[in-house]
Amino acid sequence: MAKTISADGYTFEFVDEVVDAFVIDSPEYHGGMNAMKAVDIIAEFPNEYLFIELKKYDAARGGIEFRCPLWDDKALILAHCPLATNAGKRDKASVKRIAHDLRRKYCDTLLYRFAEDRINKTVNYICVVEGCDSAQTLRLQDIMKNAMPRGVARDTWVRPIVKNVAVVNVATWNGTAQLNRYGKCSIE
Amino acid sequence: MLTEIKIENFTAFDNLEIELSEGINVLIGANGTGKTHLMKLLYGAMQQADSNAVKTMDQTLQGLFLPDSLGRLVKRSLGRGKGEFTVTRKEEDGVERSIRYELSTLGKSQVINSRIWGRQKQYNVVYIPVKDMLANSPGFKSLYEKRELYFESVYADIITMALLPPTKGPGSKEKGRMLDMIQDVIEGKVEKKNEKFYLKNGHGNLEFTLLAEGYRKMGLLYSLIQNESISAGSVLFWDEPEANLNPRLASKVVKILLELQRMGTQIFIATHDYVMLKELELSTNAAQDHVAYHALYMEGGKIKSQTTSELKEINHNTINDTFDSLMVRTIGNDWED
Repeated sequence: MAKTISADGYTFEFVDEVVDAFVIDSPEYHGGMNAMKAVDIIAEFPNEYLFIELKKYDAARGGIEFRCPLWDDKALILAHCPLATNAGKRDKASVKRIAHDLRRKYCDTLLYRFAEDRINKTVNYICVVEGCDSAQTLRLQDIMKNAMPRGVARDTWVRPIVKNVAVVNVATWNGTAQLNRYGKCSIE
Repeated sequence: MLTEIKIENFTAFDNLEIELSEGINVLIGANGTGKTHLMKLLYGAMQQADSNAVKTMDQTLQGLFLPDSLGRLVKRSLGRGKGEFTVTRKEEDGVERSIRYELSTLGKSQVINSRIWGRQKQYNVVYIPVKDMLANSPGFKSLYEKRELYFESVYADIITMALLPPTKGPGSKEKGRMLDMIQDVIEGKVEKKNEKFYLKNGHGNLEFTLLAEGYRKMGLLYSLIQNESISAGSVLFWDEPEANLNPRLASKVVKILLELQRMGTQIFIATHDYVMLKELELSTNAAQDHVAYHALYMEGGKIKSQTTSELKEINHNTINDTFDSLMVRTIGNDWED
């Protein structure tokens, strides 16, 4: 049965095939757990889970405008880490840090599911970004695909850590067959 | 400064009306949406405004577009027809002047207000075409004047402008800053000898033919700023400044364009480049800079336009559309069921 979930200004109208969908940061799940981080939404389908990360880069976030030329990794970091307002902190950061932060949220979520004994299906990771232009979003997608080992990356693995990785904006989610079959995405 | 252009049934356009910024005008759009045509019409009109102008508007347009016959500049349609364009400029004293050019498919033309429009004072109008010409400059100018060469006039014009010797005196601080900035990039100064261009640095003189095309482009900009062809009160048209430039140099080009604009140069650039647009967006200071983005796009077989002061407000941005398409295709290629 279709299910609608809203978080951080985004709304997802998942299709009938959805088994369950919830905001992971809510009190009945992992809200208030300071030790670990998490993605924003989990949607369960018959054969897979979607771990959905929601990002909004805008002036409201830390009061810092998103200024991110594609070739300027420091600017991308500034957008991602609003508190890194001084040059020293920015210089210490790197694109790897962005990937590290997003990957950590994914991995922590995976551990929560491990604790719940609910890693019984493959997992796809989708980061939905608004406030970047299309070129910046594409750049972030390349960064994340390099940062997360997709598929069964080693002979010793029996299942992937993550099956598919995508970083998209709302329009691309809705315009891509591989993603819009899960449902529609909109933003306030 | 140029304030407005209206075009009807002329070259690629059916009906177009664009208000121009006194600062930087950025023309974006897919191939075939008339960016270069628009700049050439404005350039031609400004050439007619110059007190040194010797060509008629007919001759100017013939040289700029090289049509088989002048009447071909009327937008093609069945049967006989007419086309026209009107360009308006505002003088420093606030007076507005317009010139209207009408042309029939038979090549019969009429210029309205040419006296009011032209020969008032000397204007520096520069058009930098996409292709580099400095490396091929020796002899080109005299050959172009004496023979029928199938080169658009902008190629001869740019060599003429670049070959002008430097102005006397130290020049303004802004000029010095811009020349220093270019010198940092090309690691030397531009020198001219017998219509040849050289890059002069600690290792001697290096011929322009041995320089990377991107450096030649920066060298051209150096010459034009050094001899004040581009200065306060001048109009600069630059077709695809990004051509042959590494994207990292886009920030330098944008800094120079903004500096020129703050000095009082009116600028027109046509670009397909995301990096150039993004640098301009990030470097613009809303309090002191005047930038207008003019998006040209096809709708119902006709070229339309949208003008905004902010890049993100453009609805017809083919560059963003292309990145969107890449994003979709990337996911489509490697998403496994």
